[in-house]
Amino acid sequence: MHKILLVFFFSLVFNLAFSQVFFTRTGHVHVKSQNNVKNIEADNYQVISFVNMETGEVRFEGLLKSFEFKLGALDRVFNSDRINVNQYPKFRFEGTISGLDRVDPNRIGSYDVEVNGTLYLWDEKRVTSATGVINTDGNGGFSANSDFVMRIEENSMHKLNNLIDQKLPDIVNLSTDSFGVDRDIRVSLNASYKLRNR
Amino acid sequence: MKKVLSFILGIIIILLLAFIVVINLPQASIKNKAADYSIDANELFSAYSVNEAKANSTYNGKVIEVSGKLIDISEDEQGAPVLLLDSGDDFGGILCTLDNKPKNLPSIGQKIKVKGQCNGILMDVVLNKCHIITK
Repeated sequence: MHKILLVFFFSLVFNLAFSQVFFTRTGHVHVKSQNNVKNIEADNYQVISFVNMETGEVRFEGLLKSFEFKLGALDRVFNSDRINVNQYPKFRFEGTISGLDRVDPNRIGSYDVEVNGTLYLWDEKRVTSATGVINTDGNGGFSANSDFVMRIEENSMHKLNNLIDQKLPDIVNLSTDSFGVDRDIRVSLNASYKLRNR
Repeated sequence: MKKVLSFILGIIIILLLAFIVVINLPQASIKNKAADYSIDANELFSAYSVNEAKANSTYNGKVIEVSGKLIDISEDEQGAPVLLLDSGDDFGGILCTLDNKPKNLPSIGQKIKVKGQCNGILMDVVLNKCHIITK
């Protein structure tokens, strides 16, 4: 009898915890970088994300190769074998959303929230905070949107310039300054979540 | 002097045309590319589960044909169809985002073959720019 009760208790706890996790396989990340020649914009529509409504934990994870550049030439280079991202193939964000206790996915509504966490990209990690909006659809699902600016650190610009030096012939003297590359990258996230059932 | 000016003007026009061509190149497509690998969905998922780094070096960025049972159809944030193939694993499958919307999508439970660019693994093995080969 004890065993039956124990199994019942654990399955209840498991179901309760599991039922609070919302999930998407098809989150969208849009990035935009400005420069003097042509703005660089890219989209990734294959981002997975989990939101735990009980604890407020949020996680985004995506693959660098899933970015599609609006500029066709850049997209072709990025999708060629010349660009190898196998050392750091993924980016991820782990954090918490404040104010999720007000959100009821079974009622239509819109909620301003704050997100704090850490972004892991290449070999760097960055503490990031942003504001966002959660829109509930009244059918047990919701969408989340957030826009923030990510500043490229000075040492990352050096890495980029070193890469340009290595790849281009010596006679071509180009750097990120030549193109007027803005160090601020504008990032937009949006995703539609459903209860996790697989 | 006239010849020099004509030469410079010619160079400028060529550079301008090259710039316009580069700016207007369409995005990469794999539709007419031959597949580097043809593999079963279970095998592909298993390769990533067993050794992700090794599978990355083999399949990432490559065009592959994957055969498997269709278990879910959804749409991404831009409305592109997203097919999920069974991998034999409870939590992960093969996620295939189609490059364009076909007139008729296959049905759940059907065995299909999809060609796409392999980008790595998250929870599912992720393929992008996909086309349905057989259904």
